[in-house]
Amino acid sequence: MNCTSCGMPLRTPEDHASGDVTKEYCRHCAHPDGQLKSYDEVLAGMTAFLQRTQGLDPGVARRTATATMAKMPAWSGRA
Amino acid sequence: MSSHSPESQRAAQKAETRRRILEHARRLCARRGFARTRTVDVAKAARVSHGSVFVHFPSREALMAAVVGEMAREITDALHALGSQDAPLREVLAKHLDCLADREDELRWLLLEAPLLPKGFDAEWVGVQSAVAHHIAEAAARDMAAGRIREIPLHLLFNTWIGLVHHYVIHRELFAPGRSALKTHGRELLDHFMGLISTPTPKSRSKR
Ligand SMILES: [Zn+2]
Repeated sequence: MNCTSCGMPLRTPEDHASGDVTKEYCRHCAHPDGQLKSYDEVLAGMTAFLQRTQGLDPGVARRTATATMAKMPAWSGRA
Repeated sequence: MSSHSPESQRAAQKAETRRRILEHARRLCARRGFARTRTVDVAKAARVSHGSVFVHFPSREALMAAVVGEMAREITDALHALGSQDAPLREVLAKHLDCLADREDELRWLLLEAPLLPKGFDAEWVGVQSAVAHHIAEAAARDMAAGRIREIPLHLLFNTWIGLVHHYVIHRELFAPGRSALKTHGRELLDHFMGLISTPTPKSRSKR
């Protein structure tokens, strides 16, 4: 299965938030206590990740992160 | 899952048809590219009616996006299967090369046609690159912390690697006519790249 918030594959227990396999989102999308981060926090994190690792323009990074999250079950309630 | 009700049989049949359409679409895209792959040819290859293609994929674009999505998923899964949190960068890059070499025809068309493809493709493609970038960044950060490679901004390290590899794929006919560029030159590219970014070993330092 994949993280319902960002799409990352969840293969090992450590991939899951706080190592808890019943959690359907990944460690990057969770606070240290295992709570799912807010939409804005995940969006900011993903945007920063795209800039830091691929050098994307800030606007492109933010649009890409928004488009990715729009397809994720955890954020499907949002327009 | 052993129920053989007509509904479950129909569902299984439907999934099988979708799988077959997608498989043949991928083969055709690998051979002649995304722009030139027509749904009518996919239908013929998969031995289904033309209309049946649109039962499973609402448009040609949706089918093409599914082809890229499928490729993305395979690459993501293969890299993630490396899994172990401590694979060195060289191992991650070697795996990346293997993944791309196995799909070099598809990848080449994707790179050549990217600016001409509809919007939906962008997101699928950045999805692939993000998964690759994630694994490369994590391994690179570990190797930097351990002093095995030089401190280089992660995006430049990533883009230098991608630029090198994609250049060989795009211009394959110059480097490996009629063959796989990455199966032919992958090892050389990997050695070269690691040489560029590695910290000097005590031995090579003493030579100076
Ligand atoms: Zn996540």
